[in-house]
Amino acid sequence: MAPGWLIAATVALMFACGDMRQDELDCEEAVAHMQDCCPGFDTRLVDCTYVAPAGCGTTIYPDIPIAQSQCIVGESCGTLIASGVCKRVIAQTSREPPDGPRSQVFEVCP
Amino acid sequence: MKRVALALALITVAPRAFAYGPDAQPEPELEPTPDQTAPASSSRPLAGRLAALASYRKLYDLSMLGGGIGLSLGPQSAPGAFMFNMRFIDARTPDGLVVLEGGVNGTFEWRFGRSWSVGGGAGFEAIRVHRVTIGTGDLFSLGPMVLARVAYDFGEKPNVYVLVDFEAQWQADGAVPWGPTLQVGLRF
Repeated sequence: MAPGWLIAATVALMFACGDMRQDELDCEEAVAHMQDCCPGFDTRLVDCTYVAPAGCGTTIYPDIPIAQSQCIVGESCGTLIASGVCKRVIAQTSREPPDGPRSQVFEVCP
Repeated sequence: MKRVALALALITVAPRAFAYGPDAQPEPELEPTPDQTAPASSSRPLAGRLAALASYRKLYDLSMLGGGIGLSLGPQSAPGAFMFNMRFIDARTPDGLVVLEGGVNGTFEWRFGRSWSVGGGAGFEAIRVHRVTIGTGDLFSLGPMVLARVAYDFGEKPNVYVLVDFEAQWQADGAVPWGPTLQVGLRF
């Protein structure tokens, strides 16, 4: 027989709901960092949304993977500009990918 | 008729004259009730705190610093107090993402001496992260939380107090925001 507090804790844990994925959060933080560092960077051209597959659909991940996000956030503004990260990001967001904007994956850092 | 009026006047004035006369006896003092003998901090059925908050949270690899307000209310007994707490925190990540946090919880605090309290509790906390991208909707999560608490009161109520919570939340997608929250405010 499980103690009462264990049952209560288990029930409480089941109440966690919503959306707080690390890849989405890191992607948003990386975009906020580039917004500060990269003149001309348009945040509206990046989508950090994770879309779970519906039925036989495919999973859609944020445009910037976790490793790239962490790399971008870990660099100073000067480094992002000097190393060409800002230039590559702006170039990638300014061209339309062949199969729609949600298929782009940023590989710009380092 | 004059006799009747004189009699009424005597009936009215005589007891007062007796009470305030040179032989008047002082009224016996009432026995103090238990509430009057108890310290002020343990006599009130309802206690409360109104505070300014400062918070630090670690969520995945991101850190967040915030500030906010909190209100606590609850019955107080001799050994401690059960408090119903609510709060709102406006926080920022290092690169400026706006993070709003709010929640309610219940705590029990045991009193040690005249100034220190130690306790713990549980509740629910919601977090909203505003997107800066084109993504639809904000990141939002609601989940349970637990906390441990240490408080110090400067004097008797109403008084200024300092309190530190150390807490952990269980949010969606396995996110576990954790960290301390500092309160400075007025206990009443």
